[in-house]
Amino acid sequence: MATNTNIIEFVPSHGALTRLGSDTTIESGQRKPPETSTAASVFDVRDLVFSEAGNKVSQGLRLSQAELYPARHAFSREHITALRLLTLAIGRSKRALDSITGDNMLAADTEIQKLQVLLPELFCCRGLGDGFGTITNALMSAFEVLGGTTPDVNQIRAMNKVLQVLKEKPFLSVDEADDQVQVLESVGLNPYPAELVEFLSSE
Amino acid sequence: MPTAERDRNKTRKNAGTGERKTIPSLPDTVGHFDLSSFTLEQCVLEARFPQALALWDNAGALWRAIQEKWPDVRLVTAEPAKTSFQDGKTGFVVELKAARITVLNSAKSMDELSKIGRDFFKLTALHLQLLLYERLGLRLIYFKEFKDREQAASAFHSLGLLKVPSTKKFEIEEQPVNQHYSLRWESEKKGTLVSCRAETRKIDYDPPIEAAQVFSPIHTERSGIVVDVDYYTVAPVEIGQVDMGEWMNHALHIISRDTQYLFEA
Repeated sequence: MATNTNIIEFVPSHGALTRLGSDTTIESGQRKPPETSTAASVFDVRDLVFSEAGNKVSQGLRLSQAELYPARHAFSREHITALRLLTLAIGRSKRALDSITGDNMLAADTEIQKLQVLLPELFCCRGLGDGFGTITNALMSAFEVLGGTTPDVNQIRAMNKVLQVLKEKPFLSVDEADDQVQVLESVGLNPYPAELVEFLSSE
Repeated sequence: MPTAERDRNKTRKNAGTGERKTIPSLPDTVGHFDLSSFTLEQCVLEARFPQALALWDNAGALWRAIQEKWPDVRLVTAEPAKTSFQDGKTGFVVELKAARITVLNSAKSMDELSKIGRDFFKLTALHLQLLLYERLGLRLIYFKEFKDREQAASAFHSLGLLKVPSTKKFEIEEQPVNQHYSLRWESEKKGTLVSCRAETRKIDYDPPIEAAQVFSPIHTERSGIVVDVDYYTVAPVEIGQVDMGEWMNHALHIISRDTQYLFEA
């Protein structure tokens, strides 16, 4: 005997008209049946217009993180911490770029150092996903290999871009994260832990 | 006086002297209630995506991975376009264009569902090689039982959601029953459908003869109010943006906060 309650039988005979296929599907066979309403043989032009407009809009639109996760109280600790740290990190890389543009290398170096110290805490949020951990780890390794040298403007720009991707897609997959690691690599950063490189080259 | 206006006045006059009489409204015997007095009958967490043909290649690997996480799930259906498993009152479905988890009668707490949802949809996205979700949806169906159809109608009436004519309509003396109120909010990015209705559920179940020794016939009628809320996204989202458990918690928070208006009249 099925344990599922078949709510088809429970639907009253006064169902409101709903656009078919637009609701979250409930248990199989339990969709509100339109047959209980007096059939309206109206060719609803509005539905067509809506569909066309909706498709056009959907192609260009994407939901941002803020729109997807709008309730401050509903965040997990890791998620909110990651977003806070990423916002800080993006701001610092942006200020570093501005400082370089203004020929103030000292200020740029200070901002980059401030960015670097955020990374270990950001790495603690790797429970969000393996992709998140991969990118944070790559950034930490890149700084480690730099050994205190201030990254150049292209490298900072690449870091800024990667951090923005991470903020918008904190749950990205490892494959997507690898693409971002390559972005870092393409500007001369070494995003792999020194131990790993040493281990791989020891053979 | 123009002819049209004369006709209207005439009609009003006839209506006043003829059929028009006020019928007693439903007794408002139901005290104040809100969503906390309802039981959560069904909770559905769903993601829709562009046709994932990888289902035909990877369905076995996907369900094996799911079974490794939740060994108690057992096969319900396996068809090319739809595969589904079940663990008690929790159902898991993966189709060519959608995946969902359905929990009946709060068999799992929301915290549990959030955790399960996170892993289930992550595995689904991985094995079906999804890049995009076209729609995310959280649908909650609550039910509150009342003594009979009239009391359910009375309780619904007390919510003040609908303006009910106080005079006889359609040649029927009785007040309306099984009322239905529905509102949809929809922007280019998100939407919510709130539906509240009084309904009567009739169950007539006679077990097949071979099962009659085990199961008793069920003939019962339940009347009550259903609150059905569907919170969903309209604009597509990239897989890397979404953790379904996290999204569900946010959706749940928004639903709990904003559904209260139904009971504030």
